[in-house]
This record gives sequence, structure tokens and C-alpha cells, in this order.
Amino acid sequence: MTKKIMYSIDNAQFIDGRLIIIGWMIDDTLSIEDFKLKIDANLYDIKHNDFVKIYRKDVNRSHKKERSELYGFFLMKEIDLETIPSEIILTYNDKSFLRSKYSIKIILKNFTLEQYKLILDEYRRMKNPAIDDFFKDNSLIEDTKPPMQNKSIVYCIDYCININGDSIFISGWAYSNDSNKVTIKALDSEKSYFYAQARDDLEEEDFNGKHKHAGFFAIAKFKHNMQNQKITLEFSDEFDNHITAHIDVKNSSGAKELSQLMLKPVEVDAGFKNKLEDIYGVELSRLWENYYNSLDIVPEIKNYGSIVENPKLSIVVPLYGRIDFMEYQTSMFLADDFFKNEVELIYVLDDPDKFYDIIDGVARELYKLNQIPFKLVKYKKNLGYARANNIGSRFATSEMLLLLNSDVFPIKTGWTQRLLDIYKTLQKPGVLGCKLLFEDDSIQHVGMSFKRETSLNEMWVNVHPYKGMPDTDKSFFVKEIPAVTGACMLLEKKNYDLVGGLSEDYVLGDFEDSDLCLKLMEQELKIYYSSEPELYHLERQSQSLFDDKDWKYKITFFNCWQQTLKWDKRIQSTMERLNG
Amino acid sequence: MAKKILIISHAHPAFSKGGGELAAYNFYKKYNEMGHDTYFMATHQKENIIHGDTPFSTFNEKEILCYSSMHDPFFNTITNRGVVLNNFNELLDYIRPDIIHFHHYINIGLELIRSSKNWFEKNDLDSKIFLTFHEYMAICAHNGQMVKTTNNKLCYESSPIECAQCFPEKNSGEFKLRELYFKSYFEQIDHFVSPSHFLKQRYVEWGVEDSKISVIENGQEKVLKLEKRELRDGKKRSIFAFFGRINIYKGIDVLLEALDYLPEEILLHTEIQIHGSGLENENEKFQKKVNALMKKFRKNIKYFGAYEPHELKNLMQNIDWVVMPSIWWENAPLVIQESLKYGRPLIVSNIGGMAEQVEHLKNGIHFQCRNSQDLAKWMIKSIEIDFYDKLYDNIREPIWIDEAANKHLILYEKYEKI
Repeated sequence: MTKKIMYSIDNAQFIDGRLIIIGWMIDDTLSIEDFKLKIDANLYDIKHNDFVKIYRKDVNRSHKKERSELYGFFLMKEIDLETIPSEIILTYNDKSFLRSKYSIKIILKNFTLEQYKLILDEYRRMKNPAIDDFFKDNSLIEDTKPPMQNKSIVYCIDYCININGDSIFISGWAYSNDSNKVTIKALDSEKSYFYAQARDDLEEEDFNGKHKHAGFFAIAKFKHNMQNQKITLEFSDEFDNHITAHIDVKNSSGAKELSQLMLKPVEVDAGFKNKLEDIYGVELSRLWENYYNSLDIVPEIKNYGSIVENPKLSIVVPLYGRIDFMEYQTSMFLADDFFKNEVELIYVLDDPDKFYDIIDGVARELYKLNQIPFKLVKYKKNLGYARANNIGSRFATSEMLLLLNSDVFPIKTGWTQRLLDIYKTLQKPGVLGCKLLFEDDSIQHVGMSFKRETSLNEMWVNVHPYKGMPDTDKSFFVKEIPAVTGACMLLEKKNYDLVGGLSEDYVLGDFEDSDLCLKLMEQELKIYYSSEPELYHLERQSQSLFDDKDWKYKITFFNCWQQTLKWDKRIQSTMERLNG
Repeated sequence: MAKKILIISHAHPAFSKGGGELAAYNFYKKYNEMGHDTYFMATHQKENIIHGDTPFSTFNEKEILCYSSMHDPFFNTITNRGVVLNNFNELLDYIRPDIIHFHHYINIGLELIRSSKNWFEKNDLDSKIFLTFHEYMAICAHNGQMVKTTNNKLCYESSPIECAQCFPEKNSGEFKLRELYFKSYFEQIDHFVSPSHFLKQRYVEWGVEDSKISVIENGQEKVLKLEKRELRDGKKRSIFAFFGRINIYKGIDVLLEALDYLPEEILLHTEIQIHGSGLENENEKFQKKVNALMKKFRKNIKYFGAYEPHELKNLMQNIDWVVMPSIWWENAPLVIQESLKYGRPLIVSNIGGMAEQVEHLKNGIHFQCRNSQDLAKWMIKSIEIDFYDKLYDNIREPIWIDEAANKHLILYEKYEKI
């Protein structure tokens, strides 16, 4: 009975004309002569120069072999090929009586950091001239993970990804054995910004623990489109050691994933704002803008019930995360006869992944049950709060427009008429907002204002005063304020259109409401808050867009920065005017 | 003037023994007797009696059974809403009622209220919709009992924050939403009926206008008051009976534990009759507890099992006291009405609908809710002190079905004019 030989090919790849295969084979008579390489139609012998046996601690331990026994192998053969081969077979004939032949199919893939650590370990120990040679030639840099060493400088590239065609995001680490500082340049770039990053994974034993700060991330901008190109990075230290690396630029998977990747290494500290000003701000904005522009959106609209002629009010309600709010709202709206033939209610489905197919059936049933007419707008991709409102508003035919969140519910009947009546009494109105309460009848919104946040480089943040506090003042009053929440905003459609609706610059919602107020104030119009009518805003009910709180905070920071960049002076003067 | 009335109940008494459905059914029978063409629609969940294409089947000529299931018990909405509402509309076209009276809304689905309203409007009719409350479902998501899920403690008032404590998987906003949603349907009810003042008060506190709820007790079939149980010389009034489901809310364990506090010489002559069933549906811990008590006091306990309403007269004949130790508020329990009509003094927990229907030391006795020791104290007094006759004499008959039906009809008339 022939004994089957245990083996494993851990990894294989082509680098610069050389095929490298790492693996192990438990055969005491393991010998090079018995290996042959078959690449597509061609056969290659394996020579002494091509092959080195390596001590594999993991293999020996699991197969209970002695330290002196070497079962790992590192195979490296120079092969002149035009293209990546379609099939690579490593054949091995053992020395058994039957000369069993093993045909091992080789699948090319990138080495992991572990693989290379293994090789490095062995290299250091064995000082095999073949490998020495191999590692000396630094142009053999593979495009992502493995670290390449030039005696002094060691580096590794984790990501090299195209952001906006002419811009690239890079991250990785690099340190020098001779000096504490490594400088990195992206050659041929128009401008590039490299930032240091402390990385816990670099604290491990192999790196002597002193390279925690060897991490880096960068954004580089080029003159041309860098898609599918290579970039050249130059690493150098104070002692004139340097390495150049040619890295393939990879394509990104999507705006969300890429922005998460780009923001992951960024610390939220005093330096964040500078990074945004350097290049991060511009590139993130472009990234999202390009993403949305690339979507081919054709909104569909359907009427449920008869079309309301000459409506006194159009209400736009975006739906995201939950469509059952449509049921609760219409059930509560119908108590007002106003909704039967004076209100044009427009729901916008901004969560097509979940509900695109079923919402028509739901809407039809809902109309039959609640008997108030409404329109439903839907499209095939999630576009976010601003665009959802802007698209919905396109279909609004009334002069008056109310932006309403799906989790806002009336307390008394006649609330829309009350809003309209109060609006008529205002001087140069831009927007009218009103009191919103939480479910425990505490304050959710009594107007918004702005304040400079010290912990955010003195940028302006939106403030919702008295949130969660008891609503003790039940008197009726109207006053001018800096901003109101988008959860319930009444304005004239012509003004909305005049300022271009909600700004689509803010990423994943937030600040569009204050931004709209600022745009209207720029037109010499005023923002008003009224303590009536009161509505419930069950804020927590809306689904969170952010599963990753860290990323959410950074995106908020970005949005905050955008707003300050656009409106610093206007906010300053408004706060002075209304507080002073 | 003769009316066309449709009564909608959440269950049919032929399949379900609850007081609410029985009351609704009694009204249906009485209205017909009085010359009003009345139909009775009951929802059910028995799959083996439904036809292919329709949720409806008919029982006893004017009783329509409607198969339904809850899509969302929290919001009380039904599955297959479109289909059910279509069929319901057809039923209304067929019956053309002047009055629709809902008893309950659970299992029926809130939607039918709106569908009824829509039908009236579509047909340009000025007809009215009534709803009788039989529990606190709109106020309390815990089976409408207003008892906390955490420890079964009594709950006195709902609020989004309080309710969220009983349902940690839901947040407080969800409860406000539920409240607003229920109220948006109640808006369309013309008038409410409550069988007890206590229950009305809870709904008023919750937000229904006081003037929109009338208290009309569930009417009973007229019977003759029974004579007191014959006592042989030297014997005392020591036969106590429990009627009802054997579950944690009805407090059977409170009664059984009271036996522990009876002195030896009294215990010797005390008999506890248990009429009812359902212990096997309760959780294991409760089953174990009750079984242990039943075993401990097996010399005193006679377990009769479930009973049919028509058997009640005979069962009541041979007892002295009816004990209702419920740990929840109760509304207008049928057992109390029945005890009153047959003339059996009640010993009840001192809360809710029980305390309303029974007057302490007038026609019955109150004991401290959930307190077995206090119940024992009153049991001892009931046996030893000679006030049984006084209580018996004071028992006034409950409202008969004729009177209750008349009150409803007067209500219907009143709204017809509006």
C-alpha cells in the first residue's frame, strides 16, 4: 500500500518574471529532481537555484517532526512569459515503488503578510544566495501586501485605490532600521498629502514594538486619470537610504466603502479640519457627487385616489427604513377634511432595496382604507435625504410646500391650516417651523441655532436647545430664529426653487435644513418658529444610516466643516443679529 | 322603529367561553327577539371550517363567522387586509345595517372600523358605529390587562416611558405611535359603551372624552334567585367556590394559599370547589405551584373541571360563597353577574371592576388583592360571624338583558337623531 504524501501549497504568485511557490511536503526523500513545472503547454525542470527547503515550525509541530527536519519549500523560477498563464501544474514523483505522481494545480494569488514574514525569517536564518539575490532586487515589488526590504527601509502597502479618477488614496506602513523617520513621496503627482498613523498591528513582536507610528495614509492628486495605472512611491530616510515602489492602482467598490476606508485612519482631533482643508474635503465631496451623478435615476410617480386640483398645500415626506409610517400618518391625517381635497401629499420612497417592489401594493391598500389621496414617487437607488426631497418637490403643484419627516405625527386636527394661517402673518418669511415633542411630551424641537464648538476647531455646529426637557411654556408666540429643523418646514415653493432646494453637498443627511435656512437668509428672507401647532416627532423611530459610529462621527465632522466653509460669515452675522 | 343591526364580536361563544363574546351574543339574541333584524359576526381562527375563496361561513342562519388572523398584534392590524376588507364590504352590501356595534377590536382588526365608516359614507348613509370595551387593549399592550410584564404588578396608568419598561425590546416612541394610531381609529367611533365605571374611567384617563362613553352593564338572562343552601344543624357557611379559568390572572393560587392561614378547626370543615380548567396552558412554575397546593389541601378541595353556563344554576345551589381572587383589574366579570343573579355573596379582590360590582359588607366582601392572609381572615369571619343572611338579602339582581338591551336601543335612537 502506498503511503499518501501530505502536502500543501500555501501560496503562489508571479513577480516580475519569476514564479514563486511556497508550500510544504512531508516526504523524507523530498528532492528537487522530482519536481517539474508545467505551465500551459510547456514543461520546466526545477533546478537547484530554483528551490530551497525551509524549516516550517507549524508543519513540524503538527506532524511531530524534529527541528532538524525541513519540510517546507520555497520555489522560485524565472520564467519568461508574455501573459499570465491559464494553467500551472506542479508535478512531483515520489520515490515509492509505484512512483506515484502528484499533479498539483497552482493557483496564483497574493501573498499575505504572514507568508512573507515566514520567508523573511528563513531568509535571515538561511542566507541562501538565491533568495538573497531575489530580495536584493527591489524592483520586484508586488502591488499590495508583502513588505519588501532594502536592508534599512521596510514598507508595506495595504491599499492603493482610485478615488476620483485623478486622485488616489494610499495606506500602509514604512519604517527604517537606521533612522526614526521615513519620508514618502508620490512621484509624478501634482500634489500629495501624507499623514502619519499610529497602528496597533505594528506593535507586534516582529517589528520590535518601536514601529507603532510607521503607519501612513495619503491622498495624491495627478494630472491625468489614474485608473488602472501604476504609481511610483519613493521611501527615503535621513541616511539617504531609499526604495522606490511601483504600485498598481485598484478601483474602488463604491462611494460608501471608499469613504469609510479613507476616513478609517483619520483621527478626530485638531488635525482633522486641516486634512479636510488640505485635500480630504474636496476629494470626499467629489467622490459622493460623482457617485450620485453616475446613477441613472428616472423617478416614477403614481397617484392614489383622485388628483387634488389647486391644492392649498403640498407635503413632501421621504420614506427611509420604514414604510409603515405611511400608514400611521395617513390614518392620522384623515381626521382633517383638509386632506381630502386641499392637500397634495407626496411620499418619496428613498429605500428601494427593501421596498421598491412591494410599496405599490401597500399604497393601494392604504388608499382604499384611509381614503385620502396621495402621490408616491419612487426610483431605483437610494439617493439620500436632500435628493429625495428635491425630487419629491418637483412634483409639488401648490404654492406652499411643507417638508415633513415620516415620523412626525399631528396632535390636534387643523394643524396644516394653522401653519398656513400663521405663515400669512409673517414678515418676509423664508421658512416657518413649529414645536415638536418627543413621546414623553418633552421638547424635541423649539427652533435651532448655531454655536462655535471648541472641540471641533471652532466650527459652527447646529444646536437644538432644551431637547428632552419639560415643555412648560404652553403660550402661543412666533419669533424669528436662526434655523428650523427639516422635520417640519413650511415655505413657498418659489423660494425653495429659487435657492435650488436642499443642498446635495452634505453626505448622508444632516445640515441640509440649516443650510436651506442660510440660503434663504442670503435672499434677505427670515426664519420663523411658532409654538403652535404642536406635533410629535418620534425621532428615534427613523432608522440609523450608520452602523459604524466612528464613521458617522467623521461624516458629521465633514458635513459640519462644509457648512462652516460655506456659511461662516452669514452664521456669525445672524447669531450677532438675533442674540444681540 | 325597527333597525338593522350588525354586531361584530372577536369570538363566538360556541367556540370561546369569554364574557365579552357571551355578552355580545346575548344582545344579538335579544335584539332579534325585540324585532330588530340583527346579525352577529364573529371572527375565529379555526382553519378547518373555512371555505376556499372567502373568509366567511355561516352558523345558525344569522351568525357569520369570519376567519381572521393578526398581522401585527401590537397595532391590532389583520393579515390579508385587502381581501378581508373587500369581503367585509360585500357583507355590508348584503346586510345593509343601520348600526354596526363592535365588541372588542382584537382579532377583528381596527381596519374594520374604518371600513365600516367608509361604507356608510359611500352609501350616503348617516349610520353610526359603536364600540363596547371589554378590556384595556388600546391602553395596554400586555394582553390588555394593565398588569406589568416584569412582575405582574398592577399598572395604574400607561405612558410611553412606563410601557417601554414592560417591553424592553420596544422603545418608548413605539408606544406613543400605538396610542396615536388607536386613537385615529377611535375618532371614527360615534359612541363607546363600557360595562363598568372602572373601565370607563381608565379610558377617560387615557384620553377618550367622558361624554363619549356610556356605562351599560352586560345584561343577564332573567332567572329566579336561588334559595340559600340548606344548612344542617350546627353546620356553617363554609363552602367556597371558584369559577373561571385556572390561570395566574384569576388568582387561584391566592385562594389555595389562604387555606394555609386557616386554623385547624376551621379548615376541618372548609370546602373549596373549583369550577374551571386551563391549568395545563400555564407556565411550568405556576402549574407546579398550584398542583402542590391542590395536593396539600386535597381533603378540602373538590375539583369539578370546566362547566357549561346552563349548569351554573345547579352548581351555585350547593355553595355558599363565590370567591374571585383575581390579581388583575377585571372589568365586568360574568361570574360576578351570575353570582348576583343566583344570590350568592361574593368575596373579591378589592380592585377594579370587582370592587365596583361588589359592595363591601353590603352584598359581599372585599379582601386585599393578592393577599392570601387577608383572604383567610375574611374567610374565617365569613364562616364564624353570622352576616351571611344580611349579605344574601342585600344582593340586588343584576341588570337583566331586556333592560340592558333597551338601554342600548335608547342610545342608538339618540344617535340616530344626531
